[in-house]
Amino acid sequence: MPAFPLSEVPGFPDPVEQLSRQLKARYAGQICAELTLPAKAAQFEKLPGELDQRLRGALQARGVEQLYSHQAEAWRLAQQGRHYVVVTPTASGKTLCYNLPVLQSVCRGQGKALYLFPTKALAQDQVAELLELNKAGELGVRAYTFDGDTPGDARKAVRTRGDIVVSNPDMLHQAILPHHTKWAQFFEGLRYVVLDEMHTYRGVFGAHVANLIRRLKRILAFYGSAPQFVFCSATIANPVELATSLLGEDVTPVTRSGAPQGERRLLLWNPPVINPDLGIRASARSQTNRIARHATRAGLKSIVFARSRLMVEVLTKYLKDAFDKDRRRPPRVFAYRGGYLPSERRETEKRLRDGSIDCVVSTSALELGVDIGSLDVCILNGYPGSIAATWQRLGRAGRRNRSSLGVLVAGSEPLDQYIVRNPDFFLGASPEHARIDPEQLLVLLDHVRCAAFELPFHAGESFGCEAPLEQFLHYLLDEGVLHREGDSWHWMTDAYPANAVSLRSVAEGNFLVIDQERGGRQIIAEVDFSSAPETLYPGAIYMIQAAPYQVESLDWDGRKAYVRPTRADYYTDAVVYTRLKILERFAGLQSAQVKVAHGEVHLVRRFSGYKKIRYYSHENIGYGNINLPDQEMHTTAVWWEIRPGELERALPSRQKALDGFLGAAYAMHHVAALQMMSETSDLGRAVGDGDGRWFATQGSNGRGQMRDVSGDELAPDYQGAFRPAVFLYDNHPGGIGLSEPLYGRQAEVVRGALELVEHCDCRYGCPSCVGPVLASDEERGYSPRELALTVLGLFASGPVSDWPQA
Amino acid sequence: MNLASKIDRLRGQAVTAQVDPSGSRRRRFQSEPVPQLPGSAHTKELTDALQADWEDRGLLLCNRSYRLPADGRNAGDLSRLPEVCGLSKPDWVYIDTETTGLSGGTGNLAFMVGVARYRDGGQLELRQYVLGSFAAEQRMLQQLFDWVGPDAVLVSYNGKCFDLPLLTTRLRMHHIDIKPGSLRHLDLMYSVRRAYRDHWPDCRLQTAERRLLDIQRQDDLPGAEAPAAWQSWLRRGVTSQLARVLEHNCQDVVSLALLHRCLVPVYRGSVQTGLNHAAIGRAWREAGQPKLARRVWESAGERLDDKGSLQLAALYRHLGEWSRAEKLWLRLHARGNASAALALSKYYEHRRRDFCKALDFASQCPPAERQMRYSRLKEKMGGSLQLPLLVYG
Repeated sequence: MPAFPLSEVPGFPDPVEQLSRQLKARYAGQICAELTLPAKAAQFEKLPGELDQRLRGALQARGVEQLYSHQAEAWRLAQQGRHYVVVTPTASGKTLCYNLPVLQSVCRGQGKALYLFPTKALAQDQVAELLELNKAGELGVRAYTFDGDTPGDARKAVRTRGDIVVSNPDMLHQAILPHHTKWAQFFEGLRYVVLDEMHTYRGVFGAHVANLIRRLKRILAFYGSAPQFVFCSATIANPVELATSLLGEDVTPVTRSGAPQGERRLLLWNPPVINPDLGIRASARSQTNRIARHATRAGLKSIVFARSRLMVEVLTKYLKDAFDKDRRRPPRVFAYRGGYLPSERRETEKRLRDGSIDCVVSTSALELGVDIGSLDVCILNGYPGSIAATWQRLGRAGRRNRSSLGVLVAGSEPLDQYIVRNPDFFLGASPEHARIDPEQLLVLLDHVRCAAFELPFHAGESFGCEAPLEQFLHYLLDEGVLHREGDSWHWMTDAYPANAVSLRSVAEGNFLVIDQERGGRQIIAEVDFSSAPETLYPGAIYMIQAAPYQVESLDWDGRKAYVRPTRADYYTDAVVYTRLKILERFAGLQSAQVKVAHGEVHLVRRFSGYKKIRYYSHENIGYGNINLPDQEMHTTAVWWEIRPGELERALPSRQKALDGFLGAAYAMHHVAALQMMSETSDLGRAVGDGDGRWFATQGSNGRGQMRDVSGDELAPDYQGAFRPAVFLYDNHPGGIGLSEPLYGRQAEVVRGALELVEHCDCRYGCPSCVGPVLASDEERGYSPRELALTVLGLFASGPVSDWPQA
Repeated sequence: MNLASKIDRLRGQAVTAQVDPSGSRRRRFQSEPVPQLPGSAHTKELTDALQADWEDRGLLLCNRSYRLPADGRNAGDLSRLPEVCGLSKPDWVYIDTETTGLSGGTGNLAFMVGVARYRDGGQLELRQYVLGSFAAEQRMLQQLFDWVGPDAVLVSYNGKCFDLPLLTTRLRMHHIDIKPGSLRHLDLMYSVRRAYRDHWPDCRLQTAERRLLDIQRQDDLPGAEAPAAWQSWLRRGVTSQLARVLEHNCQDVVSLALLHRCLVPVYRGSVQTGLNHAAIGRAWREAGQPKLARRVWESAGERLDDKGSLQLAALYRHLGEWSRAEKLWLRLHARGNASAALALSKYYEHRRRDFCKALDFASQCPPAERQMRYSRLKEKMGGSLQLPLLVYG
């Protein structure tokens, strides 16, 4: 290694560029696309004149002589008393956008601050950073974390002496607000509330956090304070919209980053196909390993992101085998993930900052906030699941004045395959919208309940919700938890409602997954109610971070699943019969071929059994029974159907039509999850007719089967009317607001699915496009992929006019 | 569709269809509205049932007076407990609350508060405030703390962790600027626990009543049922249970006063068996009362445990009563107590300057001390010492 970066010596080629040229030359077939983001110069502004002298000193002691333009803009908004949201790239100095105004306020005795981070680890990081700045300027600011680990005797000091309290939404919900009188002093002097990593507050969690903020504001009003709210977020399409719906007030955006950026390249990498019939590609792992070795040999610092802890260990082992064979020399490769001791992680972070690590392999643990200095190359082993997370991770590489390289290595999942074939996704504005629905009835009800415990409600009071508050109060009155007296509604029972409400789910009662290995009772995961029956039945293989566990027993009422690690070479797939009935159509569009609509549906899911499927070959190696009650759900959905005449013309065989619909649904489901920035489990899919008379499922022969209400098989050709539809539904009771925007993007979903299937490298269909296909189909040349394309082609012909209500 | 049936429908599937065929989990309370303003029949019923006076807008006050069995003690004697010793003319106020819940947090309140203090004649004047409605709470809190006053010494049972924090929370909820946390406070639960923890199965107030005061409650409403009693008054105007809560609370407060009197002789060493003398002596010692500590420790005689004996010996040493200390250490040493060996080694080395004996005891000290003492003693004895091998072994 030269003592100084070659790139800074005129005449020497940039080593990052060299590496990327080398990779492109050797692996042209694997590289689907290359994107280049040009370098950007820094935009500075002077430190604000009104900045406290001590704070100025602290900044200068840490080498900060001026601010980036976005930091200065945030400062101005703070001084104007506005709520604002900062959305700038990773490592652009986001934290100073709130730390500066907050420290100024604290130093001048103008008020305290509450910081909320989605996780404990980030909160602790943040305090460490604040303390450094504090020390540098001898500011005398007291910043404390307040979380589940804070010892009982320290809590009082945090409440009464803390200038900045750093916590998380769950603590605010369960420990702070229900005991707000103990925090009276703190709330009375509160000037700022900061929510960092705002993009994590979406979906169910987001709906809860929005209501939590309603509760917080109610308590703050009780103590006569109205602090400013500051949000920070990774890149999403709609930061202002999200911040506004979280807060229920106007929020001003800060989006133009003044931080410098070197040139950034991104290679989209698809492992080579090794079995074209089955569509099987070389593993992402082997490709990732190869690229990381190239980078390390070239003397570049790299970070590898893997999607599971297990994969982190596997990749680390491979890379250590290559680079750390000589034990006398300091190790060059490190792993970083949750589950390591905090001290160990801090040590690795330190080594990263001082540049003594050549390659670090990490889970998403390093994706958020943690300061690790800057690196040259970032390799993503598999698509992280969202564009925001992808950028967040890629942002880990890139020195300010030097180019960086990112490589996204696709796995075989549909999302991965879709992404590498649609590089446009990475350009321009992020297509992902973070959605929340603060009006979700059950979530709202839970928080009205918690709020009533915190302070009595009075007539005419508003909770910031659209639905009339009084009706919720009447409901709780009927339930016996409230008592009405004159114009007030008082909490009445001996219960602590926050304990019964988890911010991460809708239905009450998450399931705990308990590992009984070695007689232990360690909780290793939490599964929300709606996905429990299809993942935690006895016999199921439950994957945690890619490590397989087998469910031994399920305590349905106690909401516990007991598991044990296993070495099974198969995974399990529940056979779920989903029956849908359309209750109400809210809106619809139609054309001569298709109809698309959005509305409320009633859904019954029956779990009849499960299949054991061998890895790689996807062959079915056995069955098991599931004994669980039927699950019913009212939710909202979007559905697509083809006019019967058109369908018959395109696909005369009803059997083929079923297979086509099932394949199309599979592809549309994955694309929709991607476009909605949600987990695939937040959306459900079904194929059937809208009256709930029959529904389609994939039988053991791989072929679509038509089943009636009780799950008995029907012969498709002997049914009367045949109007199959693809349903994508919001997989939470009452919905969490996914299906309405999904309806708005229905054309994009269909187009995306069509592209996914069209451009897949398999011959007859594979798990990357229309779902697993049986080997027998391949032998006979039966192509579910073609059928799905026919269906999707019709969907894509596009509805043009309004479909009037009947 | 109205909101309630929508929610019911959504929650219907949150539970499963088969587990709950009725479809609805809700218990509907058919509550008759209870008129809350004075003058109504319900109010009359409540005042009659509780034999209380209607104060104002739903607040009830029940006054009683008790003459406690004479025991020749005056109020000043009652401060002979470690937490309150040295108080001059303390104004004791006994306090106990009945609350709507035990879970803590802002959603619970005290719907009944019983307080009592001694009057000049020596009789105990008891006041019980009862909420006939939520609206009366603010008035109750104000009247209560007006009556208690700023100089009272509160006496409670587990009030430090329960009753007072709860009242503090309620005061804040009503923006009343009173901080009861700043009042002096004697929590008898700690006094009882200290003395009896190792001798009783539990230290609840009723256990103390039975064992120390010989009180057997008749037809007592268990404390856990108190919230339901108040609810049935609010929801349905039922007064009978609330009357029983009133009796329960009254007994609690009177028991506090009796227990307080009863604990004074216990803490003065007048009782020889069935209690933890060592801990009581320690409390006196920490309260800066070595004489009382000594009296309690000595009253235990041979029954004093090792820890207590060591502390008593340390007290003798402190007072210069060396022979007493030595005697005690030797007794402990005979029982194999290593700390006593250390004390003896120091005593022989520094006080008696008998290095041989000091060395002998040093060999029986805890290992951490042993080596250090050995080297020093060796030096003092002029290096002529042969160490037994086992010392280093």
